[in-house]
Amino acid sequence: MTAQEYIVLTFATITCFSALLLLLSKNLVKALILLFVVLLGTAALFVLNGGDFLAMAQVILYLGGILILIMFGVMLTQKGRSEEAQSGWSFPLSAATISGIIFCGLMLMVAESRKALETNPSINFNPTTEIIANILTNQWVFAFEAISVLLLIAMLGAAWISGIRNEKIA
Amino acid sequence: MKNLLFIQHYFSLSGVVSYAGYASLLFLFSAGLGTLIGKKGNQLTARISTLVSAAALLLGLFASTSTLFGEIGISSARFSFWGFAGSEFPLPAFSILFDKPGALIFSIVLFISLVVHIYSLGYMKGEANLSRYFVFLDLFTFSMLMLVMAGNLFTLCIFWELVGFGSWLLIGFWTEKRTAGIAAQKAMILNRVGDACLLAALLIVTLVLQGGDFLGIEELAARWRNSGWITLAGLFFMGGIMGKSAQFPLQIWLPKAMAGPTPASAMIHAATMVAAGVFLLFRISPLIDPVAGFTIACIGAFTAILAGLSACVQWDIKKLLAYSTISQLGIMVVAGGLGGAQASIFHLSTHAVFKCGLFLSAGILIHAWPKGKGDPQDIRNHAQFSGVPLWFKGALLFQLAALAAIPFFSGFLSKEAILEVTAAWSFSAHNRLGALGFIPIVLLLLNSFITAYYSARLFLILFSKEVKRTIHFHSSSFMIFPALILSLFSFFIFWSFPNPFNPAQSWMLPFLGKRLDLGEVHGVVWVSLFFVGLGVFGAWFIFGLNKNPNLRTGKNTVLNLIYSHYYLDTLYDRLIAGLFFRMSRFSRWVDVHVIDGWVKGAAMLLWGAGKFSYNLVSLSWQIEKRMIDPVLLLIVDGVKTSASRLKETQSGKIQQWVIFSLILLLILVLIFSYFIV
Amino acid sequence: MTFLLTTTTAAFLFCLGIAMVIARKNAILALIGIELMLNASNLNLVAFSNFWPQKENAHVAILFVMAIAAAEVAVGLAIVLKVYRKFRTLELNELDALTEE
Repeated sequence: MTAQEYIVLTFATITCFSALLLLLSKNLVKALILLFVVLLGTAALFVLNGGDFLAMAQVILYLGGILILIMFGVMLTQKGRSEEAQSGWSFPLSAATISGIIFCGLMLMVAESRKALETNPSINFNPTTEIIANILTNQWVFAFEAISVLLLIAMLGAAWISGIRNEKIA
Repeated sequence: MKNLLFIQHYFSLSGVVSYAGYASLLFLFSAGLGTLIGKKGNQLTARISTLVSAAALLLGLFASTSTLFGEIGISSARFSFWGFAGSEFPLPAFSILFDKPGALIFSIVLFISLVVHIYSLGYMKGEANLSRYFVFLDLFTFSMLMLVMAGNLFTLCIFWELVGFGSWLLIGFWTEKRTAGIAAQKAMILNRVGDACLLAALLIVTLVLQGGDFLGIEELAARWRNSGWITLAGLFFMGGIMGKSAQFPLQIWLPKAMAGPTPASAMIHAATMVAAGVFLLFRISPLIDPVAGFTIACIGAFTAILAGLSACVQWDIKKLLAYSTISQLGIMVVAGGLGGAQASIFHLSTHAVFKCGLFLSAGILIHAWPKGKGDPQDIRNHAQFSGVPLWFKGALLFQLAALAAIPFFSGFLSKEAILEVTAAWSFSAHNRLGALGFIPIVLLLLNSFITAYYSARLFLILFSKEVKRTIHFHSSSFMIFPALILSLFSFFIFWSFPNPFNPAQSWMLPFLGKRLDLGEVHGVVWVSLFFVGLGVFGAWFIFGLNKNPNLRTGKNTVLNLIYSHYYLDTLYDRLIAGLFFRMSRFSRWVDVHVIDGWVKGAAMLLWGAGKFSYNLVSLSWQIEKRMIDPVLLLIVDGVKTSASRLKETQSGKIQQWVIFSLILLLILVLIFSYFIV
Repeated sequence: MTFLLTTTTAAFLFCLGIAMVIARKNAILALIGIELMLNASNLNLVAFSNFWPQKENAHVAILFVMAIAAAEVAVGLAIVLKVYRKFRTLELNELDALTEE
């Protein structure tokens, strides 16, 4: 076990543990913080698997975008200031069962794939930014533009759904 | 159209025969006129009727003499009443035949009819329904004349029944008398029995033997000789004769029929209607084969004896004369059955004259008896008449002598003819039964004795010197004259000239056709004379010497038996009528108890079924309530709870949907993994 | 080892995401669970992309997934806000107006 693998282990543990706590927490704010940790851990795992640009994209998009959005959502849907945001569980047994089964299934698949592949892949830590840029603007440019349009549509749609249309934009 | 044709043919009967037709029609016309005139013109109807009778007699005599003396020959008219000219349809034609024997009887009937009409003017004087009486009388005469003129069996049958109907009308003339109505009904019924037999005979002759015309009857008999059908037809004819001419066992209607008016009895039951049977026998005599003929003769002889015995003990004069008629008819039937139909017609003619005369004389006596003093028909009462004129006694004597067949009288001649024929037959080759074949003659001789006995008895009782005579006798000239005329004709001279002893010299016989060749038996006359003498002597012995004619009334059973004519009447009443009454009572019982009971039973059954099903229903309801319902409710509950539980899956909660989707996904993955891996 | 750990983590996160979606009452927490699932699939793809000589192609795909996830969160939160404004509650158990009862 190399040092790199230990670091991967650490970050994996942190991520999994946080996610577990996230599942089991009643407090909404706590859930947000834990989500923050999970996303950060995932970004680290991205780096350790050779996807440096992806890690940056993860941090910017998820942590800087999605998490903020969720935080705003939480804040806007509070009943009052005095009580804290609490949330219980519904269908706990069904959830545990199903997720357990799926986990087992997935682990089986992992084991199967590892057996088939026999060797651990050698990770290439070269910088990927330039190549990603190249792919995005040369090969997958259409998809790139489509995604842009999609994002535009999503923004418009979100704005419309939330009913901001009739309000004055400050 | 066809009916008009018939009428046209009828009036186009050739020559003299048409007069005969007119004579008959005159009576019909008179009857119709009488119906129209009604009650108001009683006297008018009576007079018209009598005049018509006289006119008809003249016409009839003219026609008859012309026919008899052969200038015209046999005239007959045939025409098809049904209009089926030349078709295969086997219906007989309506035919008129006026031949010599027919002419003879025709004249006699007309003569008797005139006599009775004149007599009725006197006898029925003061009767409220006089015109109705004459209408009936004329109707009857018309039917009888047409019967005599009938040319085939079919036509004869028609008028046969019509004559019976006329008799019914006349017997029951006095509608207020209940006995008269019952007697008329009895006569009709017994006649109908005879008519049924005649119908059977008619059917056999017409359909099987393919005949029926009287002209060709000898050829028909020759064709069908030795056939069983002939015998059968003969037996059925015998049945018809039994009904109409009052032979055993259908003879009891005749004594009962004396409930009608006396002139009607004289006409119908002495001279004409009862003679129709004998006339029929004469007409069909070729068809009678030995078997049927002997049966007829035996029955006739037997009846003669039975009736004669009953006549010997009667006190009612009309009943006595009725039994006497039956007895004499029996004699005629004997002769007719054994092949001597000519003799029977001869006796028929003489009998018509003297019997009618006797009835009229009896009517005089009855009429003279004052009302309310007892039975006007009892001869013991008649014996009490004082001042009875000699002519009346003489008339009665002549008629009774003719009846008893005393020499010098008509009855002797005709009876002797019959006895001769019967004896000759017994001795001839036709008699195949040996000793049995002598039964008719023996019985006839016995009957001579009986007849003579009761005739003498009647005379002796009526004019007995021992009875106190208190009632004054009277009668009207209308009644006297006919009786006298008839008694005159009872004398021998009008029948056989010049010999009073030999019937073969009678002017009548040649006209009646040829008779069977039976040979001659001469001794029979003396034997019969012996019996006659014996009878007269016996009566004189009992009634002449004895003081009191009431002596022979008693409780003697045998006498009672004979007096009531062997209780035949009661027997028939109890047996046949009683049978029918019992049957109808039985049917009523069946109807009330069985049929209605069945209906009631069905209703009870339905009610019971209803009750049972009601109980069943309530029982099943109980079962349902106790046993089935809980189970059902349980099932319902289960379904309800499971339904509500199942309903919860559709709660509308998103996460539940997610769960289900994932479960489905897992299942699908599991399934497909087997195919992929 | 890296590969194994990464894929295990991805599997774990995925299952937790499903559990979050099923088991949490709050709608926002369910959305977080969806995000977790997406993240887990991204992580898995990164781990597997190392087998490719050109792993940047997989990375581009992952970028697209991230973009779509962002768009989805935006729209989802807009809906959540709308729902909250109408029903005054975000508990998923109570948002069952689509049933007949």
